[in-house]
Amino acid sequence: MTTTETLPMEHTTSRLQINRIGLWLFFFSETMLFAGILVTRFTLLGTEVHEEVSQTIGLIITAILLASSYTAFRAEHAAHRGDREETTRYLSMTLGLGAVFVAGVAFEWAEAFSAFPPGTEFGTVFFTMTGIHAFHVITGLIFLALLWNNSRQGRYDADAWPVEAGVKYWHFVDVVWVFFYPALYLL
Amino acid sequence: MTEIAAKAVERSPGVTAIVSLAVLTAVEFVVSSADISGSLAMLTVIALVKAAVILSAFMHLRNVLREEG
Repeated sequence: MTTTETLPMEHTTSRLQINRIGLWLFFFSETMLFAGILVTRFTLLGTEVHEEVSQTIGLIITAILLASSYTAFRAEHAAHRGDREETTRYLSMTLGLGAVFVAGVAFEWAEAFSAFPPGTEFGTVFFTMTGIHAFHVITGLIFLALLWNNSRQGRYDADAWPVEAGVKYWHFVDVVWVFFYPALYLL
Repeated sequence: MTEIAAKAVERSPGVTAIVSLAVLTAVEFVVSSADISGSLAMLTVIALVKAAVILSAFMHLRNVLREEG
């Protein structure tokens, strides 16, 4: 009774299930990091938001990141269908939107350095939160770029799991921003 | 079902989700701009609903323990 062949079906766990559980455990550990940062923000600043923070840029980059989640969703479904062309197309759209998001954050940073430098209380919180989030967006972009390149070569025609994992990571980064956006720009 | 119809069915939860997220983001922005009392609670609830939409529609949280889908 040491091999899966001798076990009844209900006692076996597929590779895909194991992969998914592992990915969600990773998301859970990342949630602890982001939750800690969010709690720190409210502990240090209460419900105050700096009046010079750009609401317009905040809204635009939020809309772009949400839109990228839709294109990522389409890429994942196309990969599960085995549609290489559509997977590649939607991954490239997601990459483009993600790059625009990072450019938006960079633009915001250029403004923020003079309005509330990193040494100030709000500046510390703002640069920490946007910086750690942007780092995750950039790692997501690298992941998606690898997927895009492999997808072009047809490496996911038979197994869509890598695309699913990369896209889910991208959605996770989006979920984090759903909480960071009001905490930094709205309140 | 034709391929086009199948793709439309596949797309619909994503379209519903992105439209919901857009509306909720607009509501968030208006609540913040209006400077009404209790806005912190409202923004928290909206953020939780947005996260739930992404987790269910885009991340398929219900499928974690499934072998397919």
